[in-house]
Amino acid sequence: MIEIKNLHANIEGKEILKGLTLTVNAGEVHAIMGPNGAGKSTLASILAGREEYEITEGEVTFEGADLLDLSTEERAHLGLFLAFQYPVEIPGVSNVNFLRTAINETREAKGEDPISAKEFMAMVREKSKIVELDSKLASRSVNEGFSGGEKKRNEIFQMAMLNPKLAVLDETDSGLDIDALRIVANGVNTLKSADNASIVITHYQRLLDYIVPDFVHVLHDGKIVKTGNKDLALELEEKGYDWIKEETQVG
Amino acid sequence: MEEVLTQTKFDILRTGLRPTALNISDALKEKANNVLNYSDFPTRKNEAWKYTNVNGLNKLVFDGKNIPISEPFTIANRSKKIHITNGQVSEGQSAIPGVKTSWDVLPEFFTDDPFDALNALYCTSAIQVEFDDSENETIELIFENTANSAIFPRLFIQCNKGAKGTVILNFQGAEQNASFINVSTYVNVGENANLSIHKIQKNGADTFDLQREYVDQAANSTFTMNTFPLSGRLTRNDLKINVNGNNCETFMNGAYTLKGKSHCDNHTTVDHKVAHCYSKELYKGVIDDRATNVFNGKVFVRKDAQKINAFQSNANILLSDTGTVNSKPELEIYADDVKCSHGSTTGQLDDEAVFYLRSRGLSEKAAKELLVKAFLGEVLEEVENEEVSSYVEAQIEKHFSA
Repeated sequence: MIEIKNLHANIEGKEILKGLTLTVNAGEVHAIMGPNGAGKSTLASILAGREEYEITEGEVTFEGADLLDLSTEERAHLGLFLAFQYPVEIPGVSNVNFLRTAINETREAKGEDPISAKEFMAMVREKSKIVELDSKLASRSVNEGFSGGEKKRNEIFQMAMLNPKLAVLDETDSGLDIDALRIVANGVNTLKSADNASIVITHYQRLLDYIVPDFVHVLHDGKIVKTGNKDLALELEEKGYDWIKEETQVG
Repeated sequence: MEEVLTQTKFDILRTGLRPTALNISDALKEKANNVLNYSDFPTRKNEAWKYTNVNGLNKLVFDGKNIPISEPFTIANRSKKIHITNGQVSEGQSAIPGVKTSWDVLPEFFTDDPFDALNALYCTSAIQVEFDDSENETIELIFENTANSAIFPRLFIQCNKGAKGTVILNFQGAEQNASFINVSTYVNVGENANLSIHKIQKNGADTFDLQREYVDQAANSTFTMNTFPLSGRLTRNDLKINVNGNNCETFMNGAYTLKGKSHCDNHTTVDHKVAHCYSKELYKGVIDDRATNVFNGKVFVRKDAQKINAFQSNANILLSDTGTVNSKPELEIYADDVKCSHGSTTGQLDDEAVFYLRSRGLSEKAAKELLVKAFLGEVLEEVENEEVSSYVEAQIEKHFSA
C-alpha cells in the first residue's frame, strides 16, 4: 500500500526525518510511537503534503504512485486520509456541504459521476452513527464550537465518509476523555477492512488498548529505531522512552 | 488660448454629453451649472476622494457600439419590472401602479455634489417609485447597458407612511462594456414605513459607475440598503442616510468581489440626528489581482441623540499580493449615552483551513472558493430577499470559475 524509503526531511533548515523507512500493507494497522520531537507529526504532515517541509532524500510510493510528486488533493483522491491532531475550525462552511464537495471532487478525479443527494444523505446518517456524532453537528460549520472530543469524532466521521485506503491518525487520542477515546477507536475499528490500512501516531499506549496494532514502531531522532508487536507498546508505557534512547546511542 | 487653460475636466467631459431631453426648471439648471462651473474632478487633496481617481472618465468614448449581454440577468421572478436600456426607459412597457417615468418637469431635488449636478443636467431618465400600502411589493429596475454610453438615471423612491416596499436596482452590462453610469437616488422613508433597496452593479470591465443615494428616514421607520458591486472598472457608491425620527432601524450591507484592475469605493454616512435609533453596517469583500477596495463608513451621533446603538464592520480578504485595501471607519459622537462600535479587518485566507480542505480532496481553487463563499455568506445571510441573495451567490461562484 505504502512504501517509505530512507526519507529525509527538513523544516527551516533543520533536519527532522533522518532516513525513515516503513512499509504498510493492506489490512494492517501500524502504530508509530515515540518521544516528543521525534518527528511523528512531521511524518504525518509530509504524507499529507504540507508544503513547508523540504524533502532532501528518499521516496514514498503509495498505490504505485510517487506520493511526493502529488498535490495534497491528489493524494486524497488516491485514498490517503489524515486525521488532524488539531482539526481546523472553518466558520460558515457546513460540514456536510464540504464533504459532498470533497466526495465529488474525488469521484471526478476518478472519472465517476457525482453522488446523488439521496445517496449522500443516507451515507451521512449511516456514517455519523459510527462515531455517535449528532446529525446536527454533521450539518453545522466545520468544527466551529465543537468540543475537543467532537472535533476528533468529526475527523473519524469524515474518514468514514471518504473511505480512504490509508488513514494516518495523528495523535487522535490527544485531548480525549476515556469515553471519546472509546468512540473514536470504535469508529476506526469498524472501518478496518482487508483492503485498507492505518498508521496510528501516538505518544501514549492508551489508544492501543482500543485500536490493536499489528506492528508497533518506535520513532526516535527521525528514524524508526525499533519495531515489534503490541507488547512493545506496553513495554514503552511501563519503561518510558529513555531506554530506547540509550539503546540507540549504544547501538 | 486662455479658455483652454481654464477648461476643467468636467468641461472636457461635458463636451461629449447630450443635455437632458427632459424639462428641467431654470432654477435647477442654474444651481447645477453653478456647482459645475466652480468644480473640477476631485483629486487626492479632497479627503472623500483620496483613494479614488476618476480621471479615466475622460478617456471613455461614448460611441454607442452595441455589445449585447450574453447571460440572463433579471433577478426576481416575483417582481414588477421596468427596463431601462442604455439610460432610456424602454418604450412600450405597461404601466405599473406607483411608478412614474414621464414628467412635465424634473423634480427639484438637488445637492451640491458636482456629480449630482452632472446627473441633473444630462439626465437620461427620471423614475419615481412610490409605495403606498403595507403589502410588500417588489419593483425591479433593470438597467441594461448594451452600448458604450453615458447614462444619467435620476431616481426618486418614496415609501409612504406605514407602507412597505422593496426595490431592486439591477445594473447590467456586457463584460466589454465601457460606459459612464451616473445615478442619483433620492429616498424618502415615511413614518412607520419599511423600505429595502438591493443594488446589483454588474458592470462591464471598463465601465465607470458613480452613484449617490440620499436617504431620509422618518420616525419608527426601517430602511435597508444592500449593495453588491460585482464588476466594473471603477465603482463609487455614496450612501448618505439622515435618520430624522426616533425609533428607526437602519441596515447597510455590502459584498464585493474585485479582480483585474477593478476599483471599488463605498462611502457610507449614517447621521443619527435624534435619539433611540439603531443602525448596523456590514461590508465584506474579496480583492484579487491588482484590484483596489476603498471603504469609508461614517457614523454621526448628534448632540442629544441619546440611546443610539450603532455598529459598523468592514472585513476584507486579499487573494493576491498586489491587491489594495483602504478602509476607514469614522465615528463622530456628540451624545454621551450611546453604544457604538466599529471594526475593520484586512487579511488573507487561512492557509491552515485551505490545507485542511485540500487534504479532504478539494482542489486549491475549490477550497478557496468555499472559504470565500463562507466569508461573504455572512453578508448574504442579512439579505431577506432570497432571489437577490441566490443571484449574488451564483455571481460569486461565477467570479471564481472565470
